[in-house]
Amino acid sequence: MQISKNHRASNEATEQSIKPKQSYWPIVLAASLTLTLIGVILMSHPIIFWIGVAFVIVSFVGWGIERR
Amino acid sequence: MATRTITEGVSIARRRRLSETYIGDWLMTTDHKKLGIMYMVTGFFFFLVGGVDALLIRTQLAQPNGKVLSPDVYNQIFTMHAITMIFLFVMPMLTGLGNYIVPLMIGARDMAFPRLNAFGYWVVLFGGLFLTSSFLFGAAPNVGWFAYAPLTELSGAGTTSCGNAVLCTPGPNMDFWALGILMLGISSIAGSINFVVTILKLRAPGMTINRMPLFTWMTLITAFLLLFSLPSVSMASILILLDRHLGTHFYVAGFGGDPLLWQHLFWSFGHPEVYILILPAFGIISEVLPVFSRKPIFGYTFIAWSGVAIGFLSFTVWAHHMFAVGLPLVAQAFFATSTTLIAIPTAVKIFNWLGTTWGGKLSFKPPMLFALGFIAMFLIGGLNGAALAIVPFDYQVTDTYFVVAHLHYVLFGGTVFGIFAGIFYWFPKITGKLLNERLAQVQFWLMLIGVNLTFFPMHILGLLGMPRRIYTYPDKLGWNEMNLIATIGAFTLGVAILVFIWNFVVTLRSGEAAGTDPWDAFTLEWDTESPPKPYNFLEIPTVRSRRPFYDKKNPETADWKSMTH
Repeated sequence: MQISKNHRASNEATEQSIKPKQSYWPIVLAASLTLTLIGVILMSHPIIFWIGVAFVIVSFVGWGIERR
Repeated sequence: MATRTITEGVSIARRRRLSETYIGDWLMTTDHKKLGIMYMVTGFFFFLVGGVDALLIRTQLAQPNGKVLSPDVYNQIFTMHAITMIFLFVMPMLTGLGNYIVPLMIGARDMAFPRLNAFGYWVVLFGGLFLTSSFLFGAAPNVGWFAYAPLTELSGAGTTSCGNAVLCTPGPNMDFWALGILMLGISSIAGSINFVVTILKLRAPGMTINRMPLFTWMTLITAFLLLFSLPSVSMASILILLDRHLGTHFYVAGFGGDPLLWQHLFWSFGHPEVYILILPAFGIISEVLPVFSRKPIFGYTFIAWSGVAIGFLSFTVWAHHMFAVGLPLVAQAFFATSTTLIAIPTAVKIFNWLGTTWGGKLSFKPPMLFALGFIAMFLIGGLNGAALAIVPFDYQVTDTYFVVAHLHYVLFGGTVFGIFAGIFYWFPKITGKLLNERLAQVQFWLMLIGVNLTFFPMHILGLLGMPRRIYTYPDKLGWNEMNLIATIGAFTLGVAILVFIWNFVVTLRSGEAAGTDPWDAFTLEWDTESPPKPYNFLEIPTVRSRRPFYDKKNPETADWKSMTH
């Protein structure tokens, strides 16, 4: 019984360790890129473009320093 | 006891993180299977959008002097139909199937770069919405999917405005095109890098290159094609944006630019793109046929390496789209020869697929029906493509409906049939349920009839001189009947897709449970639960032949005992 319990615990630990980890940086970076391009289309409001660029930079940094 | 009560109280009070909610889980996922599903759902959504565009086009052309759409809206609709179907339906759908299936097929737990994978998906979604939102501004791309310069310049050559026989694109329509294509290109490059690294580095022990499933082979070749072809269209897009907004003249002859530069840059992407759209479908067919013929694939090595040959040759044929611009004779001879040559590895594949079915115990389940439909329809598309390689014939039919017929036999008769073969084959793996077989048969026959009703008459229309992309046509040119038949065919295809949607919904709600291996399949993706656990394989399998799951189920007659590959 003890062995079976240990075996199950070891499997569960393995499952946890190999499960894909979530991250919100991919969607944030993609949205930032889109905002930047919308800014290119709406060049009469360049602020949108620059906000997009700022978010792209933040997303790159956030992605880079995210702990995996 | 007191301690335990306090702990429970704390856990109840804690707000759930975003990642722990149902929606948050999908928004933040990096699991290749969820991303694969998201790609496919997104692709199918855009298939419906592009399909509505197609029905509007066919309604406009059903009768002479049609006035269902205005000319400008018509231009936007036919352009967006092509962009949507190519970049927002076929590519995401095939990427989705690859995302879901390839890691399972090769015995991997995920893609090599899961976050990059998620990024690629979100860029496709946002890029698609960005492109489609152009309708809201009344400024959807209206220049055809290949957007020839200098018609796409902001103003005419040497002038500051359009009009008076100076053709250009003053609105943001072309900006949407160029920026949208750039975005989708970024997604494709991210996805391609991921596929290449995953397939080359994460295969299960024993799965040598020559034991890889053919769908994986074709996905790998497609990824390389994307990596090598996308830079040219990206550069073309950047140059046109510079022309339009920063005063350069890369494509304006009057200022020393060259309009043909656009055509060379575009088609050196555009023709490999055709193979990017069809090679994964070749892979799907190469998986489906052996399972439903109860035989190993005939000529595995030839199928795999003919894919490689097609990949290489696809970079040598681009100027066959440009015969009519007046290429030098030697260039015409070269591109006519290379275009004819590429038919050889394609024919090798068809020969091997037929060889696979020869003498097999055929089972006409829905994936097999669509695979056989694919072979028949793609063969027509391939043959009329070979006809277009003959320069004098190409002169006669260039920019006519004959070309429209050819590309739709390849992309609808070929790719879309291949995609449905893949959907019906892997749906049980993805959902654990079997799509209704009777409804699938109804859909198949409607599609087979619809595709021929729609696109076969276009050959005749092209030979009769009907130009592609015309808004309407006068009566008494002999085009009326063929156009009406094509429109009836298009609506038949629409009904077929509605049957599929009905089948999909009914199956998800109350479909028959599939079990883990409903087709008695051969490859590793079926050696998991349906749907698989997030980590795919707790223990990575060891591979000893090209049919590892068959070996596992049939140890007495395992392939590795009798074959040396």
